[in-house]
Amino acid sequence: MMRQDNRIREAFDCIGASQELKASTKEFLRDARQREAGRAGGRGLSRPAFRLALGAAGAMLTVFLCISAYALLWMPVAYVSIDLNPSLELELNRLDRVIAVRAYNGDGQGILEGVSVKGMRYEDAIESIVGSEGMQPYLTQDAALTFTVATDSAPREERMLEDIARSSGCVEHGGVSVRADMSLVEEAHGNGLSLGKYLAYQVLLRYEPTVTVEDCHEMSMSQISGRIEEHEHGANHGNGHDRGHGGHETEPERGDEAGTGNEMGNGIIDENSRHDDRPGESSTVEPAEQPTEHPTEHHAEQ
Amino acid sequence: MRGGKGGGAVRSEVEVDSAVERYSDMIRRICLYHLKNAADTEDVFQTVFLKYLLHEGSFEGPEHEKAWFIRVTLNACRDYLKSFFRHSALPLEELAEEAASIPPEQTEVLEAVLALPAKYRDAIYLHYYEGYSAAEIGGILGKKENTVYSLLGRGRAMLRKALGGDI
Repeated sequence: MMRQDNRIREAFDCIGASQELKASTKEFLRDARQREAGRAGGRGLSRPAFRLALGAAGAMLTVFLCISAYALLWMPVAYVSIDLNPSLELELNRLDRVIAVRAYNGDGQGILEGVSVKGMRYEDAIESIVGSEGMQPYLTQDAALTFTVATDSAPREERMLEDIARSSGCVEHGGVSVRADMSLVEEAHGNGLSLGKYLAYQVLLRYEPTVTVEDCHEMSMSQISGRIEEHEHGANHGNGHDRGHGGHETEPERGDEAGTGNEMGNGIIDENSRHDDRPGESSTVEPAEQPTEHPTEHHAEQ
Repeated sequence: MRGGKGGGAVRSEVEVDSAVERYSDMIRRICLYHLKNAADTEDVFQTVFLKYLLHEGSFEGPEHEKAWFIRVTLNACRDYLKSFFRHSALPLEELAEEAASIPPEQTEVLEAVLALPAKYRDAIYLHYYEGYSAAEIGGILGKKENTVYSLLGRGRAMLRKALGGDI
């Protein structure tokens, strides 16, 4: 009796590839090798190297796109603080859209509870905030509505200052727009103040060396600017800019502010002053070397 | 045994032709009990050896290389059976093409093997012809050793029934 495995082995031994099948397979493989060699030569890279390079390029492109998208949409490139007694600050992306808004005191927080400005263009956000119901009690005759702009781009800064000065929120309530150096943003936030209020604090500090950041936390913008005004009048150097409440704002030096003629060596570069008799006229005021110097005005087009 | 090709170069003509000579018969047998069609067999041949031509890995030895060819051939056959492009095949058609050159007794055994359900054929062929153990077959087919034992036992019983109790 033949064992089963022997019968199976003998049966399968009868099966084999024909010489024609082997020959056609070899011919097919020769053609395939030539095609592959041609592709490899044309690429100039081996298959693994090519895939690696392609993968690396794809990864780099993805990273680049992510960074670009982040830079465009989520990286703050400008700040606008709105100070009255409520202190708010907008962070803007390269598209002039609000990507974050922060309150720096309780009044500011109250305003934010009533408005939503994220994603808005900054002009619309300002209109929305200033026009909000919660803001109205603070917009009194002697209020010192101050918009402070900080950005690394001089053209953007100029455009924003002018746009804000022409905005109805600024015009109707006699607001002013001032510029600040970007380097002050972190410093202001570190002290728990909005950019605009921190600028006002720095000016007051020149007159009152004992005043502290904590003091300014408790003061409204009109109170700070009123005290600055008192010092200027007390020194008998009226600047001819009646703000109604007697205040004006100055800001630290912007070292790269070429062409404005506003550079100062004491950290103050300019200010826009309010004119209650000409509401909405925003002006850029040259900084004083000393507190007694008169700032000059630069009126935004109306 | 040669290592990897390195640098992405394809295998040499001598190397591939040598593999065709070494493994063609085995691949032909696997194709026989899977495909049953000469035209499909030629397509699978080209698929398997093209994979070998482009294979970038290395083999640890002749047995490793042989097992690789078995796995690739089985996968190619299964893929081909699922393919829309496969040629229409009739049962045992390919065997009929070679029937003239096969003694009647062997034809009967082959027909019995080809008549087994597909899941038994691989185990029967690999064990009774290629001489692999159940554990080795399990490694090649991706099945547990006990499963292979079960396949072999049932397949053997079906063959006995088909070919007579004397085997």
